[in-house]
Amino acid sequence: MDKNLTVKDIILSFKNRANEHIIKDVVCSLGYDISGEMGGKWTVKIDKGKVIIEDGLNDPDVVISMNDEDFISFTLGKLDPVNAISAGRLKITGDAQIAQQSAKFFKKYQIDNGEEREELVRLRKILSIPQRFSTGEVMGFFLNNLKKKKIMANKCPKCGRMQCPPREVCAICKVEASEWVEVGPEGRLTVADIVFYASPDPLTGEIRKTPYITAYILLDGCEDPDTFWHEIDPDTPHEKLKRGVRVRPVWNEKRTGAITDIKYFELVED
Amino acid sequence: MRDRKREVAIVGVGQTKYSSHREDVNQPEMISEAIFEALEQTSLTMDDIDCIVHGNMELFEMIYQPDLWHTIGTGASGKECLRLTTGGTTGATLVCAADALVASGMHDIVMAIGFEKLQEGHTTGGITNMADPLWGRKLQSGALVGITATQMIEEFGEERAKKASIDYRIIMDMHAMKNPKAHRRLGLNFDMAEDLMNNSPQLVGELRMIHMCSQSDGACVVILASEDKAKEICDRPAWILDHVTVHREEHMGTLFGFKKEKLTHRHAAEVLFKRNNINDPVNEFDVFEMYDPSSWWGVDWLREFLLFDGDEHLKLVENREILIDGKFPVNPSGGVIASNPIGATAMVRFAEAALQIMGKAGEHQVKKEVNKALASGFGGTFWTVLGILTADKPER
Amino acid sequence: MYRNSFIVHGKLALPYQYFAGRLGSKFIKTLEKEHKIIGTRCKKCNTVYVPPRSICDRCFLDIKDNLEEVSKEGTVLSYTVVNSYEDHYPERPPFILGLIKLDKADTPFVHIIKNVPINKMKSNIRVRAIFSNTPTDTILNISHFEPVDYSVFEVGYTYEELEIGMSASFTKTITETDVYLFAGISGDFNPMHVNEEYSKKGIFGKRVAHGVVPQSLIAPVLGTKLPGLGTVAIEINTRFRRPTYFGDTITAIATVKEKIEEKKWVKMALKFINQKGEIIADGEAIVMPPKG
Repeated sequence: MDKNLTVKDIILSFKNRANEHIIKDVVCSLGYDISGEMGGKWTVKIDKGKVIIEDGLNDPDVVISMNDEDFISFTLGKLDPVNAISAGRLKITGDAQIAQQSAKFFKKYQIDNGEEREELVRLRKILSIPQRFSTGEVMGFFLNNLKKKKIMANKCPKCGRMQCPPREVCAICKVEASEWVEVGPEGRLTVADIVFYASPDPLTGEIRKTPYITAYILLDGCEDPDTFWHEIDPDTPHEKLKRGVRVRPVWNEKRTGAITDIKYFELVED
Repeated sequence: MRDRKREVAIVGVGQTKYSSHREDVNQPEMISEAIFEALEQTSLTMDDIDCIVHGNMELFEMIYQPDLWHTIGTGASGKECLRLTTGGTTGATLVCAADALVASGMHDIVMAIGFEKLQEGHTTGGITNMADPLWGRKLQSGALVGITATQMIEEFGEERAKKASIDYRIIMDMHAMKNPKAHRRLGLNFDMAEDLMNNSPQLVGELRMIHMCSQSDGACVVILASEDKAKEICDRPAWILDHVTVHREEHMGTLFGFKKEKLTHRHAAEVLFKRNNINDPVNEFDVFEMYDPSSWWGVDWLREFLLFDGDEHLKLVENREILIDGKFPVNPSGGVIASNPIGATAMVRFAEAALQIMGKAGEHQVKKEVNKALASGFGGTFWTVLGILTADKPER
Repeated sequence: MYRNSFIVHGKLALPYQYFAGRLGSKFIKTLEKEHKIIGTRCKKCNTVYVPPRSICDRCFLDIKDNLEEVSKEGTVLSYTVVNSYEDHYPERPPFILGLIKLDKADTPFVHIIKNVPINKMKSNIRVRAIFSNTPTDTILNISHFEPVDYSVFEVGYTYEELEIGMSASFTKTITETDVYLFAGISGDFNPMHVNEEYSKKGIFGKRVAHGVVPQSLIAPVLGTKLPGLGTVAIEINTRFRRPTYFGDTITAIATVKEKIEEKKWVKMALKFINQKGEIIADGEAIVMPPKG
């Protein structure tokens, strides 16, 4: 490691490393809480293209905490941020999305050692392709019924499983599932997943709001283990998401024949 | 195993170093690094290779027909080249396909190539596209599933379940520290368990960042040869005894009911073990290279693959028997949690199992002699490829 | 009968990036900073690859260190005209994409060719790289290629382009000067052309132009108009119909009459008329049109 490089040098260099075209409309503040001998606390404020560096943590949107040596390694690209976060060496408190985006706000830190530095070309793109899906007759029937607040399952004539959403055939028995049965709308929660990781919704390309709760629900009238996959009201206290609790759908006022016709399921409180 | 015209063995393996960034090479250049290593190990030249099978994940690098523009790095120019992609199982499927091409007599020497540059794409976004666009796409969060953690906590209690999954994670890191090609080598030890299992950021439920596999760039190459050629090329080739592929429907709902659907892993193990008279897998296999996308799944799937019903899988972890020098070494390479170039990952399982049999695993070579190895691939909506490699040429 | 099936509109939108790698980056950055084009040479088969690649796929050798500069000029091996449009295209249609093999390189690559009339574009022309002043981090650090020599586009109609019935003409007033100059060129000082008094007694009653003077007006028609530049005349037969007097304005007209497939020659009908619309001569020519 470069013995002459200090944490403070790096913090102050943010000013000269700003990618002005990226931060010209950005307003946010990043806190740095660096422990160790060279450590300290700083706030880097970005205000529509301007970078202001202040001592101390002045109510930043996000605080990045790590020790001094890790911070220098991280700045020089020698410490992978995902590894550091996994191992608990880098902590992010507050708006993690800002921390993630901040990588683009500043150019890479370069040590000036007189050598000609190698430039590696990296192109960033977004692939965006419009798509059209045909629902088909079976899924179309199911989706059209959602508009009428009805959840329809189709039954395998051989094994009796209730498929919901329906499929043209039972993939296990390999026969056409032709009988329609109205199920639910209430049911019991089998298991829920609380999603903290913000991934892009590929239907829109937009980053999903987190945390949200996805869940598997055994609708009344369905056969275990053919559960129904949907969301639970994101405001539900997580400790209430117990196996077997009763849930009911909250319907959207405007229904278009889509998964969003059901806003989410909510717990049926006794 | 079903009829085959002749026996087939893995005679050579090549791998790049796995890493989060390979900005210094483009895709064909990265692949060629693994190929040069495999050719050097086998003293073969590209002229000796009859056919190439190539694969990775669809939609991950947003490159259409990668096999075509990779020709400059794969050596496929003027040769037969096939492309396969079956999701996470791709790498294992490539090995199975190469096996079939040689076993059938169509080709004598086949090179299978799996690669991925996850840094170039959006893995979670890409995986989410496997879900039904009218339903699951709205709900799916890539390959991140916390349900196994929830189920294990319900079954075995929070403390025991969390401890087992973090111990498994630490063991994998201890193995990765012995594998210079592994991507994530964090230097974890058992004293850190408490801190990691409570403080690592949560992704989905109790699935935390520390539990989850890496996103890696890298390529793996495996060379398979017919029985006559195999003996010429390699002193101790890794023979392919058998493999099985089990797929299930796209719909995930049946996996998460009140009663648990039998996983494809268990089904695959039952079929494979019965066909090959394996009655006591823990004692009969000398090493298991398992596709373990998270340490929760790693622990849970030991139960499925080894056909346990109680808590034997937890005990294997708790008693540290899955350590490299333990009774049943699991993933001496560090596994998928350490390195995960997805299109190559399932192939790496077979490649690492083969290296253990060949005795060429280097610092992460299992101490005892490895005569029989198990390797698994995982992908799609719970698909399985499971295979057995042996040091002795199979007698049928 | 599909009563329930309907269409759902969706989108697949995913971010990705592409690493050009060390060698690819060097190629792109050398275009940007030095305006030079580099390739790599395989020392076994001697092939020079442009853009450079790390591996010779024929010999399967690592060649990434054998960098060589190649010429900024090359030959268009083939081309296509893009008439459709998608968002990611570098240009608005129509534009030309050429397969260009640079001098000192062995492999061609595709780039945009500009400053060529689309209907005149052809293979085997020489082009040179024009570098972009704005860095793009792509092959568009070369903005486009353009012709080294524009004269190659000034050619007449080829055999294939000529159709029966196509015509062209040239008109000029024949003056005394023309006739006297021609007399000087040919040595034909026949008094019917140069002696007014003598001519008064002849059948035309005044001086007339040499017969070949008005007929020579077919030369600019065949040679520069139809078929045009590059044409070689094989045979010309004409018949004199009327005299041309000084001051007459003559129009020479050539019309495609027949295409001679086996030789790729063309038979042209020739007609020469004066200002009164009288035919002063007619005939036929066989010509070899330019090859394009």
